[in-house]
Amino acid sequence: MHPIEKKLVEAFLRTRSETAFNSLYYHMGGYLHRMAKQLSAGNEADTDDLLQETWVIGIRKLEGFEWRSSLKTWMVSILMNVAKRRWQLDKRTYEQGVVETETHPSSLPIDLESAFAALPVGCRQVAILHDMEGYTHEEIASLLGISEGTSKSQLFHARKKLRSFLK
Amino acid sequence: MEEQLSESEEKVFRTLFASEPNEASRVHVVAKLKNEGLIASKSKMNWARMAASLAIGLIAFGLGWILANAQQQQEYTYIMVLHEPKSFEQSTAGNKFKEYGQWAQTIEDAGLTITGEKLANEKYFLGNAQTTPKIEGLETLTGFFLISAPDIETAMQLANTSPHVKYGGLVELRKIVRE
Repeated sequence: MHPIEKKLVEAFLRTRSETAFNSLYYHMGGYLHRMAKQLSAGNEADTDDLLQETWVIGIRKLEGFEWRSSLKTWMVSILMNVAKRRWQLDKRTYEQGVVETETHPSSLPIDLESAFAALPVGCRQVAILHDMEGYTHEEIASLLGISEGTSKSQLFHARKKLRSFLK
Repeated sequence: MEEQLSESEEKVFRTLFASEPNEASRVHVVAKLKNEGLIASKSKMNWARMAASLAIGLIAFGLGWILANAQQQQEYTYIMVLHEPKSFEQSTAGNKFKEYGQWAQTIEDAGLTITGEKLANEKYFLGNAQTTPKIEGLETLTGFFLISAPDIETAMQLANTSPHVKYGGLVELRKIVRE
C-alpha cells in the first residue's frame, strides 16, 4: 500500500536532504498548494503561511506516521486543521457559517474565482474537499469534526453561490 | 439537498480548482523547514564538510599522510548544464515536476548525490562586450545539476534518462576538474 510514498518518506527520513524533501513535495504536485490557495482565497501570503505550517507539522510528525491512510490524505488533514486554527473555525462556526452572500450583480464581469473567494472559509473547505478532491460527506465530516448534514449544507450553499455566477 | 453537478458545471469547477505546483512556494517551504532545523541545510553541510576536509588536510600534511581520496568520493564529479532549445516543451505540468523529483530520487537511491538549481532568464555579461556570446535565440541556459557519478558512462546514462532530455532539452555534460 502506497509504495511510492513509503519509498519517498523513507528516503527523506534517512537523509533529511533537500533533494529528498523536493521529491516528497513534487509527489504532492500542485495538490496541497492548490488547496491552500483556494482556502486562502488566492492570497499568496496566506497560501504560503498555510503551506509552510502544514509542512512543518507534517515533517515533524512524519517519523510517527503509521500509514493508516495515504500520505496525501494525512497531509490534507493537517492542512485542514491548520486552516481551522488560522480562521478559528469550530463546529458552531461551520453550522452558523453559511451566510447568504449577495447574489452576483449582473453589471460586473463574471469572476468565478472572486465568487469562490467570497464564500465563508468553511464553505470553501467543504467545496474543495468534495468537488475538487472527491471526498465523501462522511469523510469530510470526520476530517473537519462536523456532522454530515453540515457538510452537505455547506456544499449546497457553495454551489448555489457559484452557480449564480455561471448564469 | 445535494444535487449532481452538470457536465458543464463540473468543467467550470475543475477550471476553478486547477493549479500548478508553485516553485516560489516550494522555496519558501524549504527555507522554513531549514530554519526550523527539519531538513539539512546544504550550506551548513558544505561548511561542515569543508571544515572537516581542512582539518584532515592539516593532519595529513603534518604527518605526511594522504587522506584526500576518501573525502573526494562524495564530491560532485560532473556538471550537467541544461539548455532549452526552441524544441523544449515549455509545459510546467505537475507530472514534469514529479518526474524530475523521481529521477533525482533514483540517483540518490543508487548512493550517488545530486543537487541542482534553476537559473533566472535575466543574464548579465560583464567584461569585454565584444566577446559576449551570440547564442540568443538558439538556446537558453536554464539550470544545472551537479552529480557525483563515478565515471563518464554513468554520468551520460543519468543525463540521458533525465526528464530534461525527454522533453527535448539539451544537456551539456562536463567533468569537474580538481587539481
